[in-house]
Amino acid sequence: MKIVVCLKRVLDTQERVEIAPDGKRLVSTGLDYVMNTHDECAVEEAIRIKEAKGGTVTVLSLGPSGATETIREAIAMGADEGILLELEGDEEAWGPKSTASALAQALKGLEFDLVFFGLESGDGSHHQVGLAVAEALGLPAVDGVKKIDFQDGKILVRRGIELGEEVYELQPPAVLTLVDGMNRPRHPSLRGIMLAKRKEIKTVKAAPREEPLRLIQLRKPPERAGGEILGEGKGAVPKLLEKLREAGLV
Amino acid sequence: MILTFIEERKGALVDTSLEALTAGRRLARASGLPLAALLIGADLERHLPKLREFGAERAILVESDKLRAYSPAAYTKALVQAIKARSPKVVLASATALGKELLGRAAARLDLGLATGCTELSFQDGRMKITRAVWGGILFAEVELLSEPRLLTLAPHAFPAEPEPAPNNRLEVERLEVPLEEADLKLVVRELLEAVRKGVSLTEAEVVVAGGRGVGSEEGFKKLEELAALFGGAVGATRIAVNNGWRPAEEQIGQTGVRVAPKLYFACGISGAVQHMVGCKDAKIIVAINKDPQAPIFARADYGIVGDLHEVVPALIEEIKRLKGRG
Ligand SMILES: Cc1cc2nc3c(=O)[nH]c(=O)nc-3n(C[C@H](O)[C@H](O)[C@H](O)COP(=O)(O)OP(=O)(O)OC[C@H]3O[C@@H](n4cnc5c(N)ncnc54)[C@H](O)[C@@H]3O)c2cc1C
Ligand SMILES: Nc1ncnc2c1ncn2[C@@H]1O[C@H](COP(=O)(O)O)[C@@H](O)[C@H]1O
Repeated sequence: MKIVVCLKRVLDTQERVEIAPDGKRLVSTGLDYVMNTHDECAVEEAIRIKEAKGGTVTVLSLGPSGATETIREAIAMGADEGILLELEGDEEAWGPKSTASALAQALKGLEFDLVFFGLESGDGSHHQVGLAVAEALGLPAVDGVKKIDFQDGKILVRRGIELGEEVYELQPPAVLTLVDGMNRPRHPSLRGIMLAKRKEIKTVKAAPREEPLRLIQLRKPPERAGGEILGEGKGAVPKLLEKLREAGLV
Repeated sequence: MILTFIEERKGALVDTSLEALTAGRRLARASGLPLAALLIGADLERHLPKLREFGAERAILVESDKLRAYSPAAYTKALVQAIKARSPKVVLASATALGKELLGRAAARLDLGLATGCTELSFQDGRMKITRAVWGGILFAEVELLSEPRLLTLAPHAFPAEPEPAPNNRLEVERLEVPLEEADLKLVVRELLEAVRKGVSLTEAEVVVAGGRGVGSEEGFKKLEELAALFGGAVGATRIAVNNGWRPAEEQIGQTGVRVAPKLYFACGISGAVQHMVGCKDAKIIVAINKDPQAPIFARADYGIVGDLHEVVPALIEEIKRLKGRG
């Protein structure tokens, strides 16, 4: 199996989420970039398939030059090759349309059986780049995959829906978008990290197109107000039960 | 027209599709455009009364035996054809697995912008204001769609489902023929595995007992299960508890997990990270049990107990049992 994984680096927001004065981005000083969580699972899944069945894993990321670090993380985990589509100009000019076009264009020049995406990006949360790439390449796609099985030359994939799971049978080439939680991504080995450091990352320049979705401004949702500390340890239990009884909950 | 994609599963309309239809009706009434509902599948006429009840003025049915099982390509073709044939101003769907997929594909096929996971919509001075959840729900973005029709998926439960028939209570039914070729039906659902319900489901539970890193182990969760059982509730977990293998991924609550809105939410050994809190912020009452008085969860919970959960939770269980025995 030849697998290409499209991955994005996103700000590791953790506890501090601060909107920049222009209202269009987050304050990034002091924050690290990490691999988008869904994409990390996609990388892990691709590596597991390679380990079980042979083949190669190529990672493809669109971003500023700093995104090579995220590509190297995937190589340290066990991916073979990395390609950076280096975006020119302001990262904020890139939306799902531009990203999908650039990724589809790059994929046209690559050989693959499967292309993996994450379900959605942690920042824009558009949930559309993978589907748009599948459409652009005219490939079948299954969205929101939780499990991939290889059986008698067939690929069976399960995707989560509200009712449970749908099972699809696929013929490569195909596109899959994968969900966080389907596996537990490995930590890179020391050897992997050394290998990734020396690896040459192919870089191609990319320019955005017009985006029909325009961001006006970001805002924070109202926070829940803090309440009352009832006390310490098990001594506070009766007080809690009293509160719950008042609320009709016990 | 405002076109709403309505999803059917197992012979019934999906609840959140009725939310989308209600949101569509609000836009239709505010803009003076007619409200249409699009249904794709087989045996669709049985749903017409429901559409009428929610104020649809037109029903567009794409019916075929070939559409009995879900096929992404065939359903996309049907949606794209309906958009081309009727030139709506707005196309809406609930952001279910199916709705997200269909609008995502249609947006690509028609080269249109798509705003996913919308939480608020309004028409103001002829302009449409759209708010969507970004950063996995920890922030909102006000956005504008510059292409038409505007394609939108609506976050489930962000809009109420409220019936209200059209003023003249008329529903015009039209059928749209969509020629389906073999290529459109190559990928179909082979099997549907329905979730086996172990007790009450997490999203429907009125009481959720969630645990985080502080629970410490898989065994540690036994006590949380016991507490949940006393309320007829369900157990949830943070990503750290899931990543440690203590709980299955389905139980993860938060940005990359499920969202719950129970009457009562216990957060045991959970620090209260924003990515976790987006999953439970709609709970009526949050009770935090954490040994660190500085934990951010205390600023976001209604009631807090500072202490070791391995002491507090068993004491709570005993006390509830005692009350029950007495009552
Ligand atoms: C993109 C992204 C997506 C994410 N999605 C999610 C998500 O969907 N869901 C999610 O939960 N997280 C998510 N996270 C992770 C999130 O940021 C936090 O890291 C996580 O929620 C913390 O889990 P925790 O509270 O269990 O652990 P910690 O933050 O380590 O907190 C453990 C708490 O337990 C307390 N404690 C320890 N021992 C005891 C004891 N004996 N008794 C009482 N209290 C004790 C400690 O004081 C501490 O406050 C995401 C992160 C990112 C970057
Ligand atoms: N800049 C990018 N570079 C590579 N892949 C991306 C990029 N942006 C999005 N993707 C992929 O598309 C998926 C869905 O992203 P989105 O549509 O933005 O939610 C992500 O999980 C990635 O797999």
